[in-house]
Amino acid sequence: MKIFERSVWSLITAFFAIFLIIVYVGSSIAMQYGAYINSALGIQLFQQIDNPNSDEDTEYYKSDYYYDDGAYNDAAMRANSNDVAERTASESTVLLWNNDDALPLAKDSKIGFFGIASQRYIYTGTGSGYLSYSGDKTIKDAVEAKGIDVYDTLWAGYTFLSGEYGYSLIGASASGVNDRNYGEYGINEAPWSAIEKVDNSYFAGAMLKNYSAYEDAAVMVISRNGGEDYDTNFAPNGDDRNLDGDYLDLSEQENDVLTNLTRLKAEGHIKKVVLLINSATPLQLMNIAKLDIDACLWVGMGGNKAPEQIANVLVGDTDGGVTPSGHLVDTWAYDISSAPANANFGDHTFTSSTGLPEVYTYTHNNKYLVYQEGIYVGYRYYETRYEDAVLGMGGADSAAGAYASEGNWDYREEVAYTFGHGESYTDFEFSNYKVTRNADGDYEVSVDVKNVGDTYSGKEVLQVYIQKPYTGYDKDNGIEKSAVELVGFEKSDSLAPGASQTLKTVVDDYEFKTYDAYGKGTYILEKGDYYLACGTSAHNALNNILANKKADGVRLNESLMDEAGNADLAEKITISNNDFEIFKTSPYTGAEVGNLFSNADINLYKGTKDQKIEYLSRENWQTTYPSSAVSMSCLNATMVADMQYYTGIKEDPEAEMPKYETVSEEYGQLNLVMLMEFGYDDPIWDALMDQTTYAEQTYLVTYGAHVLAGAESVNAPGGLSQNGPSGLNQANPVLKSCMVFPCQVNMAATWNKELIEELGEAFGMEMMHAGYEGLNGPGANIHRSAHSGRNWEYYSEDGFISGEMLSAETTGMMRYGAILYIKHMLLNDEERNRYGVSIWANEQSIREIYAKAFEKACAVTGLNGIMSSFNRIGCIWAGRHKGLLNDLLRVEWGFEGAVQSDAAVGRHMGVANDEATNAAIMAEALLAGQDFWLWGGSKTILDGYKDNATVACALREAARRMLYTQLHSTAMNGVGTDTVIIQITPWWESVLNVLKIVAPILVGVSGAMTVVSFVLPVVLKKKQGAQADGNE
Amino acid sequence: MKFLESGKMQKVPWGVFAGICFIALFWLTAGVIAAYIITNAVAGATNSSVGLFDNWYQTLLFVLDVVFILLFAVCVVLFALKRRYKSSAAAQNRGGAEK
Repeated sequence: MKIFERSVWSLITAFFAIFLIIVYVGSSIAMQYGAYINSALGIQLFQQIDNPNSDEDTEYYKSDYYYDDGAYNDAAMRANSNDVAERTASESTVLLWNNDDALPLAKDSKIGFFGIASQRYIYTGTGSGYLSYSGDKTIKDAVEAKGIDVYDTLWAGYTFLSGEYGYSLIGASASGVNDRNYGEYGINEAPWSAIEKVDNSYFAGAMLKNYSAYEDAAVMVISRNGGEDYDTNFAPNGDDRNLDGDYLDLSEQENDVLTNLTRLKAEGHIKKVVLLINSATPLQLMNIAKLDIDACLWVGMGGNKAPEQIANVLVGDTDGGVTPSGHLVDTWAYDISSAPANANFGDHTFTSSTGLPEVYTYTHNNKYLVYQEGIYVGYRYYETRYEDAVLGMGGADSAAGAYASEGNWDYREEVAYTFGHGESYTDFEFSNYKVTRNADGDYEVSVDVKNVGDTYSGKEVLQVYIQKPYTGYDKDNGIEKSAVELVGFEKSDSLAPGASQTLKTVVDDYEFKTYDAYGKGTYILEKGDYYLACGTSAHNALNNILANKKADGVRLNESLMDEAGNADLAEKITISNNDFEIFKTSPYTGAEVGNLFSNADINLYKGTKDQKIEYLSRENWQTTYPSSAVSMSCLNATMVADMQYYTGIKEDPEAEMPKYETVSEEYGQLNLVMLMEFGYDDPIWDALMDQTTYAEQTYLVTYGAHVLAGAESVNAPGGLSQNGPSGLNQANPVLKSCMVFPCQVNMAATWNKELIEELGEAFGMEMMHAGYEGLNGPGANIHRSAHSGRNWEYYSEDGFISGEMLSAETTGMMRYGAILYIKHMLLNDEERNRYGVSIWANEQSIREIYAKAFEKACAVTGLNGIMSSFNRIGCIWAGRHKGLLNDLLRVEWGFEGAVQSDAAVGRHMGVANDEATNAAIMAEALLAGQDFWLWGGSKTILDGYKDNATVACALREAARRMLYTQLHSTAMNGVGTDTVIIQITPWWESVLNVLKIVAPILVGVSGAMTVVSFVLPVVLKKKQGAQADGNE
Repeated sequence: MKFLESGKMQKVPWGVFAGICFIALFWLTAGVIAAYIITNAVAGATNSSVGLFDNWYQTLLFVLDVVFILLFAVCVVLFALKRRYKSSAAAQNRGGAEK
């Protein structure tokens, strides 16, 4: 009876008992992460059954590229993407300087490429948006294709070196930082000695000795990376140090190579040294400027067509290339630390706190950040301070904030290249500047631009800036005014030498408003002198305004000016009276505009009434320039209470329980597709929602990890989404590769809205052909600091151009049925501690800088998606901030799309806590305007609120927005009025269900056998005993 | 193998212990793998990644796994030695009896 070995059965039973527990616990976890699993396994949860006899045209969004048989022509589609990507990358390139017309290179020039980055080039930043290069050329290939002779031996030398040198990712522990959501980059440039070593080892010293044969130019490429979780405010160490202890300055090795190249130039071996900066974010130029570099091109991160971009701009338009016409969308300073945001960037912990929720990996409850610089971000700071210095106001020329200046603050020593700067191979002349007010009250601005060069064609940009008066009312009410703000731009066609074009743009009179948070609590129009000026940059426009003021008799300290300015390119507009009513209502919806972010302003929030700060003010630069970080504690009872993950539902007494599973008598059985022509507010939507179930609505809200839930009751098909923003992070199924477009900074640097809309169309078709309608991107946060790791995913330091470019790109993409979850609303302008960090900013800066980037796309373009950010706004998670998601986004702007959370990993977002806590957070977030979570999916998590009319109504509204968004996307392609959508059970779920039956059986059987194994010997023994007794 | 000759060691059920250790190491190994996959999936949502020891529970699982692997190996060896000892002792006993 060996089979009844009791120890064996006991062990087997124990084994299966553990198995049983794991199966049950595991299935519960797996169901929560179902969307991730389905996404990873490529399972479409909602499948459609079509009517084979239907002849409906169900392709609501069509591609431009088909074969004759109706199948997508992926190759032609990709060729179009490549074409627009190359034009964008080329047109975005900014010629920072070009001494003695060092560029373009003549055809048949002989050049050499230096810098490890020439072979370890960075095409996109890192993080969820990262895409690997899938182009087919090296920089050398592309440049040679333009007729330039590239030094092969040197290239081969760098190929050897690229095995050992080049950028690298350095994790938190290697960086010595106790935060796993942290990282740094290595530069690892090959020093001159390494080049010589390779030369001696492989080329017998001939590589450098023979360099003179390629004397036309030495082109040095340097790269800087950036990305999710990886800000760039660190000092590389070890053998990879930077000259100023800043990653965004030259490394010692880069400086070594460049110094040797300039030495070779001085010795006559090289005619010119050209620098290519492969970085989305600005570098600080204090050390680069010391070197005798003839020309410098900012090339950004050009994606797949970066090699062609470089080749095009190096040769210029006369040799089949392109004249650079990009203009900076960020200020380039000599010392990045001079930006006033710098003091309050990075890692800041409450000095003391009590009662805060516990800190976890993805929940930084004890961290904060104060935007003490207010509106003075980027050029708004430098240019405003410049004007005040010239006008002798506010102590602008004091020592405070002087980083690169020899003595007191001097613009010329602080700013290397201003916002909007960009040189060309040709020259342009502006004339006939006109500003006229049209019937709508808007200002039509026009100027004639003429190419006055004699060789090269090129494009120029009309940049229009406004200056609003800085008044006594402003000083009394804590309002700040930037000396210049971009309010309009237009790019010219390519103008041949001698050709001219009249460029026009319209400046909305709404741009004359100012947000008055402390006084009227709304937008106001103040009396005083306004200026609309054009210029080749923000600085040039400001000088034109100053020239205009001078003509009016204003005294200027011209010794501080770097150019005289042209008074004719600035128009003064005088507003005679204050008008505190005119902008009190939203032009988009008519809703009243009022303070929504008082709980994020340290000076207004009652939980920080004992911690008031002074924001940077032009009234007194010296005393208000942030010299150190704001110190904050979290002890106040109100603040501590608000920092909790939820505070309790505020019941709406008027809320009525919605209907479920009810077919409307008026409309009959409805399918989602039938509502294609109906607006969001049409009553038919109520009838559709009445058909859905509570579980379906919950699933629509929770099932969001790169997938969208559908709903059987209304035949909604669901869909798929993927990461962006430089391309869809999903290979085209036929081409087996991803398209990598230029990064968003490059897009903005084109200053060409039409081109970016075209890029958006190509991007939309890439998504359509890949079968994805949702994209997590583009991004629209602000380059508050050059050190923000994710700058490559956002357009600019300026909210206006960010908004214009976002609007253009998304218009193109949505034309092809894409749903775009714009990252990350709001104030997610640095990576460190982004999971739950509390961000403090005043309402004027929130509205005029940070929200501005999202405004046009949401309010005018009809954007269909937003991604709420990880951080808190004040104490409240952005996804639970009603002022942001409901009052601003929907009430003021009229946004009708869906709001998705960022990856639901933080406890403050309603995950990883106990289920009741998660549900409470989610319920409050739904009431605030959050629609769905980038999470795994649960049909039951909100069951506790089934009878709560307030939450049920909010859930229904979120589900409605989800369905509305889905309806107007490629998700509906192929879905006809008689298509039936069914929700399938994925195979892994079936396996788990089977295991949930099999495991108890196995435990039962093995348990029974164990019992038998224990009982049987006793019985047998008794039996044998009885037999023995009988025998006796 | 002197220690196996003691009565106490003879009575220890090394086979059962080996079985217990096997069960533990089997599920611990599964736990290590599952923890790695799940934490990586969560980290992957923000495009970061984790190693085998990024969280305390991963480290604990791994350490316990290693401990049980060692215990399992020891128990199996002792079980085998005990069987060998037993069979050789039985053979000796049989030999003695035949003599």
